Amino acid sequence: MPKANINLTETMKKLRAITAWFDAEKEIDVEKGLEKVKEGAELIKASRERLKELENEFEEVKKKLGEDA
Amino acid sequence: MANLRQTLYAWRDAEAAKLGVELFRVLPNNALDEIVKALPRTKDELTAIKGIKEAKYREFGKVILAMVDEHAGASHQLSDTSRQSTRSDLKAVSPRSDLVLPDLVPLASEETTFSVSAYLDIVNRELYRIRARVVGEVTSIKFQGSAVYIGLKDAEDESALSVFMWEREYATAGIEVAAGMAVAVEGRSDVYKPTGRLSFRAETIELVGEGALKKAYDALKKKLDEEGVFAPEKKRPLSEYPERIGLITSKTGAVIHDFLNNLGKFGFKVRFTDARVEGAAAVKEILAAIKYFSEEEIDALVIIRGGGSLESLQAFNNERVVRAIAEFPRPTIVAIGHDKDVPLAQLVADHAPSTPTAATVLLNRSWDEGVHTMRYFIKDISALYQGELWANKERLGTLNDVVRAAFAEITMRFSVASREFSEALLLLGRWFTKRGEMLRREAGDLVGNFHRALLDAGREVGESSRLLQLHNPLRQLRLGYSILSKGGKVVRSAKDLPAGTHFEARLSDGTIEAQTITHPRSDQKYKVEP
Repeated sequence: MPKANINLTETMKKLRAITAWFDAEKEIDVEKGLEKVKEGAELIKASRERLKELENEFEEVKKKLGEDA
Repeated sequence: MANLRQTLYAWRDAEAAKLGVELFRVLPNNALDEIVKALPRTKDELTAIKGIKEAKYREFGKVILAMVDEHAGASHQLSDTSRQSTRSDLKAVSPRSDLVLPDLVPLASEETTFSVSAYLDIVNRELYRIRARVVGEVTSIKFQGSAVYIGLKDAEDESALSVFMWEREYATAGIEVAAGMAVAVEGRSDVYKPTGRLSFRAETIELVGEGALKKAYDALKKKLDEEGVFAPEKKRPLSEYPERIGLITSKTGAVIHDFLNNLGKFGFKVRFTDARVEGAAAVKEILAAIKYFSEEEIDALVIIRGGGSLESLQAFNNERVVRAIAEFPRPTIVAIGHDKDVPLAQLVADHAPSTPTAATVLLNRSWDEGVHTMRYFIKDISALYQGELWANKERLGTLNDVVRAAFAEITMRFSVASREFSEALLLLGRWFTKRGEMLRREAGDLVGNFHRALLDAGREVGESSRLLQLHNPLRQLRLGYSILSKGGKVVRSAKDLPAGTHFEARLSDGTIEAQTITHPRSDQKYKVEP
């Protein structure tokens, strides 16, 4: 099973915030920038884990309909 | 045994139709199969079967047991000529005794006589076997309580058929039937025992003919549109990264394969319910499936079907189906292939891609974008940071340049000064050299001059000495001249030597002491005494 518990939407938002931070800062504190990069790397790693090719599951539920007395 | 099975299924289907519920709500298939296998004769035996609890027993127990009994009894009745008891039993246990009559009874000898009721039971059982779809023109329609009575006549020869329908099922069809319309009904006929009249018990009714369908379609579209069911502001966006999909389509169609094959491999969890997607019966199955999914935790409901004519797509222009989709608690995607008129189910859906494959594109989109965005982030964040580092480096470079420039200026000034200094030094050197040369030259001149002066002086001295020689008084003395002196002083005049004066006379070879004897005259002669 994948690490499905990561919230991709949230993660993407955070990543977007990081790039926005870089874009907005006029003079970047190199240390702080490095921290952001590290944080971004973590987020990217988790997201890629979830975004990689993953087999779909298929389940027919008709039976359940019939059995559900 | 097949007989009992058939009987049970027929009873269950009829019961469900009567109650207007899904088949399984009465009894699921496997419970029926279990009854056929176990042949329960008591309450305990019956309730031991999965799916039959106390409540079900109270509702249907006696009927089921009677059917089983009847089945068992019928096996014996082959050799038993007593029909009476059978009939009275039937009457006692089930109002639908027609369904439980054993197969072989009426096929017995021709001499067999039946009571009206028993005969009608037999007829009805036989009629039950004939399920049919009948097309005709509506001559009348009457609503009476929970029942709808429709008169149908043949389009060609005026043959007539009375149609009975539960109001509930009529409503499910979602059409307004009026006299003159062509309709198709599906169901079975039976004879209503109290009147002896045959009526067709329709389970579904649908319009026939593109014209009628189009009219119904337009009317419903207008009505729903006015209600605002299709309003754009009602459309809900698909959640980002949908995962749990509820899928309703036909198991046998090609579209399910198209859908599953084109769904990106992002770990979708597809829960599928098979539903007929054509014909009037499709409405019930689609409604049941929508209802099922409305209680499930899913991210999106997907309803798909391949292309078809207005007639074949009736289920998707059905008012109840359309409303069920409108009221579905989560975003809906409906992709129904169609010719001209967009199925109302699609108009009401939050998303209406043109094909099932396009539906997968919708579901894949945020995932695909996610993958893409992630690549962008990977590149971007490091690039941004690198960019910053570059910028810093550049700033340092600039600073370096400034410092270097400042130093360069200082160095330049210094080198200018030093050049000026060395130039000055050079000039000074040259001046000294020149001066030295001058000095040397002057010194040379001086020495030369001196030398010359010396020579001149020498020459002059020589000359002078010659002159001196020439003018030496001693030389004169030798010539006979003498020098007189008195008291060390040269006597130049005779007057200085009065008579008697002692004086000295110098001659070339010595000095003599002399005395003036006479007083001098101009030609006076001096007596010189040696």
